[in-house]
Amino acid sequence: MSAVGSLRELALDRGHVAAIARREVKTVTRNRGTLVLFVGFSLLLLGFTWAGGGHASGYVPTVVDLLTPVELLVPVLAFAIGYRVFVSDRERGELAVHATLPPSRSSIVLGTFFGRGVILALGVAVAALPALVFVVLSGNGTSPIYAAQRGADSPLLFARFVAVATLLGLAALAGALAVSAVARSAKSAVGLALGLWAVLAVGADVGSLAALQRGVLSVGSLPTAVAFGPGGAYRGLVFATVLDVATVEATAAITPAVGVLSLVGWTVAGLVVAAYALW
Amino acid sequence: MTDNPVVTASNVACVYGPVSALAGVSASIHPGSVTAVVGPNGGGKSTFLRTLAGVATPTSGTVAYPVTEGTHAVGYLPQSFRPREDLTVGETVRYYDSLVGDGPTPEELLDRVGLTHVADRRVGALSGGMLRLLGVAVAGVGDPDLVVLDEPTSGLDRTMTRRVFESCATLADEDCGVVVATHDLPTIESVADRALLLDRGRLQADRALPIEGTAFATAYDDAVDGETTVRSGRRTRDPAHDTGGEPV
Repeated sequence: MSAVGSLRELALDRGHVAAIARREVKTVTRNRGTLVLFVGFSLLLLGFTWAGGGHASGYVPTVVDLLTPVELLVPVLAFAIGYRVFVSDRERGELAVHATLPPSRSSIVLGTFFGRGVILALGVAVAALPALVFVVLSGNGTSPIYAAQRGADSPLLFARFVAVATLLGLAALAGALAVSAVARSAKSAVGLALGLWAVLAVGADVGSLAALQRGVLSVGSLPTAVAFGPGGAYRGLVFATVLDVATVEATAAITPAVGVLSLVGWTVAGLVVAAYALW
Repeated sequence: MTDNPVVTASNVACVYGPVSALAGVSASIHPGSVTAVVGPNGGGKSTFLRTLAGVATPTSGTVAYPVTEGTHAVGYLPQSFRPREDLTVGETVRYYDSLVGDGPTPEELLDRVGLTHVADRRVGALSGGMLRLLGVAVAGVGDPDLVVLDEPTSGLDRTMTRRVFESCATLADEDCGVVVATHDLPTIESVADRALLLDRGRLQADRALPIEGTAFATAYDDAVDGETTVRSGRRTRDPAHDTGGEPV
């Protein structure tokens, strides 16, 4: 490919990105499977909220109950929404048609990410509403002030939790798009998606602990190292922006900036891989 | 028809591992013409069309489009084009049109292939023939100088086949160079100006249509008849046919 050709492949056109994003929104919203996914996710959140028991004590205890389930479920949701997009477009000949049209690979990937990302963000927010309502109804409208007076429990903290979960979901969606661009069949996309999910979910934690055991990392730097993985970044962000309010002293292991940078970094990395591997 | 070609393939070769899909194929496509690419399965038609469309990069040789910067050069219909089923026909054409911007309106594109009456129908509810016509409409977005259609009539009945080929003629009437891969030489003869016979990755014949004499027809029959042989219930390529063979 010539230098001019390479630059063309990187160029972003807002009109193209918007058109592609609109098509993704239409495609996803007209698929009944999407509705089933989000309803299932919502019911699971509600179930974990009820089973955890924290709902009677307020929003922050509920976030503690949902911390791990959401870390597992939101990436699954994102993968389900994104892992087949480009594989299917390739099988249907649509990628080949796009290759002859003006939009660059970057525009196609970004438009797809924005379109599906909007649906994911809205879906996660709406799916979390029943759990939120359940907490409101269970707490009899009380708003406890924690002993240390570091802050009051509030629905805003729950909203922050949902926002952090959405950031995790967007990072996973970018990974799913990368998988979809790299895979050459739906079957291999499933395998790659499962492998990547396992790496993202536990790989960074296990790697950091192994490094600690071998003396490569100090105990003090462990939280930051764990935050290099998307799961660790998500947990760190939830502690720093939601759970910190319920502690006597500031205990957040990482600063919000580190967590956000990690998740944004994973998102950008996924999109770059997808754009590179698209055709 | 002008003398300046919309695409010129020079000595194009495509090699995938041990397989030589194309070997030294040269051809020029002129505006306002319909060129049929015929030959047996596995003869190199799709690979040749993919290189003309710019979707595949030749291992050696060049494919040149003498167009000014910024114009939309190529419209392409792959062999298996199935747009997203949950969108309507109109939405699909409008989407592709929005990526290019210039040229005929989505309504004109649908009218050109006779799909205006199903504009609000879901793509998933279209027949195979209508799906191929939708592909021809999409290939025409942006008024490209060259339209490359890979077996647009595969699996279609005679009526639908004629409709697709008439759409090709309409595109050519609008000064577009059209390249069509097909197995249906007798039907495309009525709209095509020229036929290229590809077999074993080589250009075996290049003739103006209608063809006078029997050389092309004989070469075509030889190529297609020798394509397969039935062995133990499985269709396999005849190894005896894979060697030798000079251009007609």
